[in-house]
Amino acid sequence: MTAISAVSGKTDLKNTRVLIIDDQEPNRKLLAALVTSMGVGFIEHAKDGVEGLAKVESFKPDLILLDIMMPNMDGFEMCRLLRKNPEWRDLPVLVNTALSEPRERVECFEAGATDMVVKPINAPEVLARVRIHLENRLLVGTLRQYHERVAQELAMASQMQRSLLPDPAWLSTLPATVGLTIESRFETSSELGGDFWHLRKLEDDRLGLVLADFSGHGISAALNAFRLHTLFDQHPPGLDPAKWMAELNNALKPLLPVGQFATVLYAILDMKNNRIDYAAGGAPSPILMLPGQEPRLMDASGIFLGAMLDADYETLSIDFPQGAQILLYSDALTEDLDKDDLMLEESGLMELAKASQGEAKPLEHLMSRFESRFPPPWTDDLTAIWLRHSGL
Amino acid sequence: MEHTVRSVAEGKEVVLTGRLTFADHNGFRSIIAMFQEPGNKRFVLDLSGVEFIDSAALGMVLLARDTAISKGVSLILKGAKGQVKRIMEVAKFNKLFAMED
Repeated sequence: MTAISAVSGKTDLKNTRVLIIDDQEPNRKLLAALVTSMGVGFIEHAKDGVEGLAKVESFKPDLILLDIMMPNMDGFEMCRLLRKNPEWRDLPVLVNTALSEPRERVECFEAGATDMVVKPINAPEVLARVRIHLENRLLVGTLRQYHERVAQELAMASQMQRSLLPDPAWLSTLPATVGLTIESRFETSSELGGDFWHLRKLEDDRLGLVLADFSGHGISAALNAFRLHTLFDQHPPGLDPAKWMAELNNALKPLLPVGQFATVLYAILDMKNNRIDYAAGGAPSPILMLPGQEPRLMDASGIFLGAMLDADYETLSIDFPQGAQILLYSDALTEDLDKDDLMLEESGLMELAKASQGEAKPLEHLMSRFESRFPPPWTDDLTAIWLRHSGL
Repeated sequence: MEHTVRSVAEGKEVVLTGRLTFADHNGFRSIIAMFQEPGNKRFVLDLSGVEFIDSAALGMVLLARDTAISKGVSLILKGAKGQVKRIMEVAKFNKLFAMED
């Protein structure tokens, strides 16, 4: 509201505070009368720079009207000292001075003045300049408050989003309990993102892993990620990946505006039987690394979730023997641009995976290589999950 | 993204070139708006000049599909190559759209 009324020039100034610093009482009285006439609610006086600095701290003005030639501490010195305190760096200081030489005017601005009026005082000019600076001050204050509030809310929402991810403490027990080692990375391109991954226990030491990436990024994509998570209550990921994907698609489609969708992969990880069953809806192709073989892309094709009702999905199976590894990822890894506007693409990611598969922490190794060519911040949300059948 | 439109029998052919991304939202909406013009029964989106398409732009193509269905317009995707062809295969767009080489 402040912004609109400021443009119309009718901002209410009754809550604004002006500090008048001048060694001459008649000047102080004249300026106070002018400022009062425009509706400023709080006015304080000081008769030199020393007293002025003390009043800034106690009175916390929105604007200072400052004389230059004063005993004890002049206006130049006071202004310089004021600007050393970050709290007062943006405080408007309107200098009124008898100095009218160009060099002296420059000195005023160098000392940190925001603006100046030349004595003898011209009432309409002082009024106009005071009003402009107070209105700007109010506007900046409103924007700053808004910014702080939104930043706080986003930080909280970002925490909530991270809390949807699997508990790292639980993940670290999996090598000993099921023989599966998982390394993961989750980064949003802004405070919130549209990527999501989930892991849950199924029967017989099997695990169900969901990786989803909603179109777009930012708040709307994050809301969709929360929606998806909520749907798990009614539609828990079960033992039939294709059936679950079809069910989830029909549940998600009515919730998403047309044109929004998710790429989803759902995999049942079965270390006991050395296999993975999975279904996918247009997800980036996972990279499978079987012992003694070249890395290859897995088929993760399928209709995007939310693109159409009654889409069919297919369950595929792969062997996943001890020593086998898989890299699952969102498309930020293959589609981010380097400084020459080139993408890594699937082929480049496969090379990085190959170079990382022998490392103790392969994903950490891969990401450090990735980041040296594609430094953050990335333009899209990035999720990467490295699975290794480490054996019991 | 750049686009040029030419009239073909019973409709329009729209030739798209460059990178198709979130930034092209408005341009794409103006293309979808043409579906509503009387006399347009058939729309061909020529993608042969598109180098790259991101997920937001794929969403716009899905939006185009939805509008085409509701307006009784037939929508054809033509000539996708490279990354565009690859991602449309991964997303099984052949089950959603009429596709031509």
